[in-house]
Amino acid sequence: MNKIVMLLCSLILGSISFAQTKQITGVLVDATSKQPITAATVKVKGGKAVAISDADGRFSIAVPTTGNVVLQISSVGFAAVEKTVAAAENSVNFSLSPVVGELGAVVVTALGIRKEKRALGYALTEIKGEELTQARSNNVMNNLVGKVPGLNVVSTATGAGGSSRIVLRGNTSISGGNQPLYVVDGIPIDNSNRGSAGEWGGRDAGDGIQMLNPDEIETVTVLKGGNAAALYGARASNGVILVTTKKGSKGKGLGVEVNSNYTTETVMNLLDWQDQYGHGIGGNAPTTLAGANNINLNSWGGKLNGSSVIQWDGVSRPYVAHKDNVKNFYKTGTNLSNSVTLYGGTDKMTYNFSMADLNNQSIVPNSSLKRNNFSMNIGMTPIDNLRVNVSARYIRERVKNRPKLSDSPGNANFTIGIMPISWDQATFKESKISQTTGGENKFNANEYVTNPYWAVENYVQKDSRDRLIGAVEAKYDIKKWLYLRGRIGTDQYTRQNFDVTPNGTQYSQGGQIDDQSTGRFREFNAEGILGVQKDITSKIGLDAFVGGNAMQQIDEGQSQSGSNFFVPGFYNINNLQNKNTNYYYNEKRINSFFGSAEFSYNKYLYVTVTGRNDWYSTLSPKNWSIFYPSVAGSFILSQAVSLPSAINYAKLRASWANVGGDRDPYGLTLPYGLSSNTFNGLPVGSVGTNTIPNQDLLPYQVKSSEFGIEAKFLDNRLGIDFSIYSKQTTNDIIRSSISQTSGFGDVLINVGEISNKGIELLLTGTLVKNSSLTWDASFNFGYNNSKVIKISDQLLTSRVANARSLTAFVDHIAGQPFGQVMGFQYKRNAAGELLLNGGLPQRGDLKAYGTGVSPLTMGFNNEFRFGNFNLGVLIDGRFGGHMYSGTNDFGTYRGLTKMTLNGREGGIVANGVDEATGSKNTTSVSSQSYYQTVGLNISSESIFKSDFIKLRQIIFGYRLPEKMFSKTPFKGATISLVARNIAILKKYTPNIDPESTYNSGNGQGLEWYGVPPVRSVGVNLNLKF
Amino acid sequence: MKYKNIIYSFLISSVSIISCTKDFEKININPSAVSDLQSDALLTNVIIGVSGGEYEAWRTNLIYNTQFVQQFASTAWLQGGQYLLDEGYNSSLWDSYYGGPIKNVVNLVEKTNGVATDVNYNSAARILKAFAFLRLTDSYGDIPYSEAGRGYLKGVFAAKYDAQKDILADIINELDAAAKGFDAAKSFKGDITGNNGDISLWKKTAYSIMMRAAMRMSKIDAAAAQAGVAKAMTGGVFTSYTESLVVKHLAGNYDNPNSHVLGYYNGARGQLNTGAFKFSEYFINLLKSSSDPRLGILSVVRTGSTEDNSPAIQKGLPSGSDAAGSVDAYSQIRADFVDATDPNILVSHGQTLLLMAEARERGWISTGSSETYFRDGVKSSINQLKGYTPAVGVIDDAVVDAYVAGIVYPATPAARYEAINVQYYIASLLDGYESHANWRRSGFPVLTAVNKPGNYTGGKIPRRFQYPASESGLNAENLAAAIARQGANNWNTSVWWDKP
Repeated sequence: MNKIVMLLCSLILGSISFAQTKQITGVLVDATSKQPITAATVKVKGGKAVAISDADGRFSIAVPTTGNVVLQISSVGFAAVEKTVAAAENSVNFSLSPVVGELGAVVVTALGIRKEKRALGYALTEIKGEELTQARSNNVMNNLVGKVPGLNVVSTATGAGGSSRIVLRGNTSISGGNQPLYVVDGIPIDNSNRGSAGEWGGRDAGDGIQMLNPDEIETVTVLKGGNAAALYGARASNGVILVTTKKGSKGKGLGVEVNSNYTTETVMNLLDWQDQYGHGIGGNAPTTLAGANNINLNSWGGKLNGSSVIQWDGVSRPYVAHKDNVKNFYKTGTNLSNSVTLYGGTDKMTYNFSMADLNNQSIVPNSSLKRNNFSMNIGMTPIDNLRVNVSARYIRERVKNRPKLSDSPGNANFTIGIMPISWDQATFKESKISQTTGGENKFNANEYVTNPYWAVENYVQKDSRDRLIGAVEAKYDIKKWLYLRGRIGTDQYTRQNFDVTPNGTQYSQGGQIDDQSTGRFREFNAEGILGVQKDITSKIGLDAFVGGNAMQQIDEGQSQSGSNFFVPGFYNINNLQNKNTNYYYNEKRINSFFGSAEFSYNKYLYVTVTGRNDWYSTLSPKNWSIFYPSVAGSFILSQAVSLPSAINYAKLRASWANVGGDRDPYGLTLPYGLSSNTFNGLPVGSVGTNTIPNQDLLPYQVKSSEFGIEAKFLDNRLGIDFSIYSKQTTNDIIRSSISQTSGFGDVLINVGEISNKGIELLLTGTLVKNSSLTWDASFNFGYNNSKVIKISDQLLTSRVANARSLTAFVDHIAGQPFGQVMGFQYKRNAAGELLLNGGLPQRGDLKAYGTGVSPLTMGFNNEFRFGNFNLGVLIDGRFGGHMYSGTNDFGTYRGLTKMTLNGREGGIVANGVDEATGSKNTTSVSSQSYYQTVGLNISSESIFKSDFIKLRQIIFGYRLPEKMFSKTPFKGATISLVARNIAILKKYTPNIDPESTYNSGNGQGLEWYGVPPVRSVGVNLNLKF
Repeated sequence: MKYKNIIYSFLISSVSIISCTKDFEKININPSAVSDLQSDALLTNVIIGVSGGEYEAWRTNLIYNTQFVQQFASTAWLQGGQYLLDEGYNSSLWDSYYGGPIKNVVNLVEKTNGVATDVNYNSAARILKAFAFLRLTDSYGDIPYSEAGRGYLKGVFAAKYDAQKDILADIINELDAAAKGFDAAKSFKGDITGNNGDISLWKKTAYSIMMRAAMRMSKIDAAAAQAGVAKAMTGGVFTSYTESLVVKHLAGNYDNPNSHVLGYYNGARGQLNTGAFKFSEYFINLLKSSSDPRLGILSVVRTGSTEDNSPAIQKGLPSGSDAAGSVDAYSQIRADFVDATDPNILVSHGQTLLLMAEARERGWISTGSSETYFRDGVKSSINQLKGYTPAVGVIDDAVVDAYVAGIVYPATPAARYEAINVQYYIASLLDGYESHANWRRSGFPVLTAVNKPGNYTGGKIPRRFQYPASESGLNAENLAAAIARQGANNWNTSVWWDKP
């Protein structure tokens, strides 16, 4: 890396040259937008001199001192221009007309290289920043829902600052990470999820990408899969999402943009429990205080009849239904986000500074997210032909009380969700504190179920992240056709976490510090490329580069935890009786060498070949060098041959790539660990891993191929973009759950195979276009058929996740799609009749119900513009997946689902045969016995299709007429009413949101008492002056 | 031309960077782990692991086993008293043992095999391994044994299930070989059992566990049982109440696992505070009816923080009671027996003598008298309470002698088996694993099963735990073979040694 720094320095210092006798200078501007045109080529016709315009559109070119010269100006996306310049003129300006439609579009591709979209042999989707800022999410990636074909977004059912799971074209790895690499202005940034909930509960600690401020984003470019991302080699297996931030531009004075966004968030109560029977067991309401608080939260009591019944806190109240417990417990959340951007530039420099402040108060009481973003982008042209960009962003995030999810301890959502309807949630606030102990008042037999107000008011959790992302990039044009670009960048952050279970908690009377930790993540990248852009003949063009990259990543941290506070309420590590400490350090490096060559023929045929070799520190020396090639082609049919006039544009594309999947450091040999506590001074040591190490591990390989068609019809009013792809993962590193009897929980082996095949379709149309109304509609659709081909020689299945009930799972099964949702069926005989034991159903075989990752995603976006008004409506849906709902399963066990109303009076004689006798069942059992047996054993009763259609987003905006501002400093103002997650138009999951998941890991399709979905409505105000 | 220099320097830099992999191997060594560790540190950890953690102590031992055999009763944990299946509780011993002490003890045995300086670690580890597997096979029946814990050592990711018959045979062989392997001249540190590094006590430990393993087969294979008992007698078992396999615990992170669940002390789960575990009606009545002096020592009625141990007021909670009303008036175990530092008795001298009494009665031992073994066994079991917090467990020797002398030792073998095993049951209090196993083997004491709605056994006291649901996906073939051999995978199927 030092060498690259040296190189950059030598490049900057040693390249002042090429002095000429006469210079013509000028400025190039876009004829439509009046913005400067960057990187246009200016040539002297018949001569050798060439100049490239800078970021402000300025150029300076050497010409013969005598006679007229003809300057030829060409730039990607603009029609070429020739102009004669008289000998006397020393300055000349040009305005270039942009080429309309697909022909001229320029997009950002891998490694930040800008290319004409027409040259690409693969699908690429670009989202403009403004689509992310109006109806915004606290995790900006959630705004991609429904907008990109083939992109699947799942967001955790938690409050503010939760993680999201983004998958492009299906899951590439059976057990590795499946989320794309994020690259911000050329710098890979970490997206780790630093804490998540599993079957035993926990908090979702958010992810890395959520820290970005959407106001800073110019474009988000989605490189789906290996084809588009091949140049990233080892890290490209899941695709890459490139974020390009706003740069300054030359303009009159200082540009200021202010954006304010305020929304309110309200809970969407989807619980539709039975409301006829109250708290109790055996069909009876409790009659004594001990009875009321010694039984669990069962709704197997008597019929709600208004009589006075003793409740958990010793007070007798009418035995009636309280249907608004959910609504009353969760509060109205607010989200206020303000940003200010300053931008502008001069001939030598452009700049963009922004600041943003986000304050989110969750619907979960006492839980909040605050974030500040500061960023700067500065572009400089210190000498001719040298362009230097410096960017730095500092992000500060503070989160308070991330809610606990899934299992019951400390999980307010659980207690509120399962609360007998004859109780009013307000009583839990009133009688939260025990008069005798001062701790959490006991309210049921299971101390691991926590009073929801104790959970949100007495537990303490706070975390902070301070992050710096910075880069310096320099590009030097050595010759008109030859350039050198160097870049160094870093992403680093420090995360502190403090998580306390207060003393007095029913299950932890002494209290504990669950985690007090400081973690530090650092990644450095240094990259250099040498590029050529040259027309070899009048028809054949070459755009090529070679380069290298060195990456170093260090993840390091220490943590303390412990139990038993000596002084109650003093949550300090020194106040603990038992303490544990931990330190971890993970370092890895990848060195790379890569190259790319694009050949074009007559601007209608393009072939691009790339290759990258990675050297990994995480592998044994015999394995550590791996090469990743790709090839792609694009053919602009509409330019090569004459097509009917209705077809404005037609392109065929095809590509093939082989990329890799990264792996974690260490794990080659068996480690031993020492406990942080000695046994009376004796060391306590053990095998230090739950994962079986493997010397011979390799990164996995992903071969992908893609074919696509793009076309525009009817004066570019209708468009189609269709892709078909296939992605084969081999040598997948399986972190496979294995039988506990092996002594280990999982093993890393290099044998997995998984395939993903799919299609993507994007239809766009300007359905109405007249002087008063424009209606643009776009429909996107992605279908991905995944198949786990092989797990290992020994394993036909592999467990990805357990539900808390331990009767439902997510398993990979060879031959089946990724991540099957598994549940136990009823035990039946060959004739399909229930086999009963004492009148009760029995657990039968474990069955795979289907993948938990919906294979089909779609979005339907409509944009209406009339006068100064615009209306955007986004509907999206997912289909073909399944999920296990723990909320429903446990609701059945506790007598809350509506099916448990069956047989409350008079019992149930189940229709089936007695297994022992073989004769028809005549045994009557109580509804409670029956459905508790179902709830404990028959998880298939709570497995549903997770399909949905949602009205995701509405934006109704008004742009104030410009003439209103003529006498004010304002240049423009837009006010929008925005709403997100407005309605679920279709779903199959009773009581829950089909999108609900408690983590963003690979075990998708399990739900267990997360934060209910939130609807947000608000206003966005944008001012420019 | 100048630009060529730039290109050359660029290319040279690039190549030198990418070829700079010489540090990679060093980088890939984890600075926070170590590749080898001394055997004593590993032994200490194995002992802690075998003694157990609160996870399975709470679930398998206290919630299930002690309630199955009606030593304890609970209205908070109906799963145990009413035989309700909870998947997590059912598999907690399995999950904790295989992923913890089994992995570590198998690794320690392999690591020290053939290492001359480490023979004592090797032998102690083999003894602890035998104990742990005996506890597992008693609980589940046929289990992964010969291939278990070998995910790293042998690449076995899905271990085959061995027949219990073979497991018991191998346990007996292993104990014998381990006992013979000790060498007083070699290093032996890190022993945190009551044996405290004393090799002669470890040998007695091996043969006392062997006595237990052999007697397990009394119903199913008398010949094997007799042979095992004979081998144990030849090797030599515990000879005093101060000689037991017992793990000494510490306050803090290494407290007694049962105490951690039940205890009152800071950091404990305080299950006695909340009245979650009471003595069962059967257990209290048993002590009362025999005027057992242990009643006034072990049992208290607690009001606030006052413990009243007057024998007359002791009252047990009926097993299988539903939650209704306060349970404050019922007896529970005295706080002193659930202190952080209390010993966890895994195999006691008293238990061993009682087994010998039965073996003598069966004619499998030819020396001594059954009655002497019996009375000495009872006496030792009472005296072992002296190992608890000072003063509390001490019963006046004269009172003990009078009680022991006063027990009527019946005349017929059948009645003697009952007397012996009822005493074994009392002696095994807090060790639900052993209490449940010996109850199944001997049939004593005679307990009345509870039959409540939703129970998993049709109103019968469970005969085993079923295989964890996780195994059906991860180890399906081996599991299926075990089920085919042993019988349906539920709580009613008897393990091999328990076949009627």
